[in-house]
Amino acid sequence: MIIVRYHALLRERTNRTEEIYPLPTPPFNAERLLDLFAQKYPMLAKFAPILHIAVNNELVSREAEISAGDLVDLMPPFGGG
Amino acid sequence: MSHFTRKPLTTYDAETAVSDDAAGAIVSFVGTTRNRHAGKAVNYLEYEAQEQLANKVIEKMCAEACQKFNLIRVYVRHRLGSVEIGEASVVIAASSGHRGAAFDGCRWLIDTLKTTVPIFKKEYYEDGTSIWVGPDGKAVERMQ
Repeated sequence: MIIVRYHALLRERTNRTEEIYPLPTPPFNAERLLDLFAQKYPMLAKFAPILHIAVNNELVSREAEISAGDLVDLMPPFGGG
Repeated sequence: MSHFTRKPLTTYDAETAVSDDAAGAIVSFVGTTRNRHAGKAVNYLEYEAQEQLANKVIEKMCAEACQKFNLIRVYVRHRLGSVEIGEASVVIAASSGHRGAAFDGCRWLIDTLKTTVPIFKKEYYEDGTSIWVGPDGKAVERMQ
């Protein structure tokens, strides 16, 4: 399994701070996680292309591999400053 | 040490933190909360962050700025939680041997922070509505 945390707009719209996803057959990457997220929350699927992803507190690309026990952050576009 | 606080920020703290006998210049930048956005009156802002990751990204950004612009010290602090109109949401300072590097470094730090640090901003308007705002003030809702 993997733990997925939702931030800001995603937390509000899913009404969850985090959620456990079963790990599909490896190799499993961030892009496939976004596909699962979009299936789970069709009304948020439109955001998938603009989300930032972190795995174990490192920003990663869509190709990054995700393994059992990883902590994943799904984050909307940044708005600091 | 965290680069985030829920308390008011001051340039005094920033400039004190970067002061150095070798410095010939200190430049500080203050990002403040505007009372209007896209024609609507703003009441206040709320910031949140993935703080652990954000601190790591800021540390890396500071180290890169020091190397790139030959800065002596840098300071970056961002507010979390509610920020009232006119208050500082971010304060950045850089010290260097000469003013050019401090100006350039400070500018690079705020530009880089806006696009690379996982901080999230929500604007609350006078009409009771609110939106999450991304880079360049665009509504996240309209970015996809």
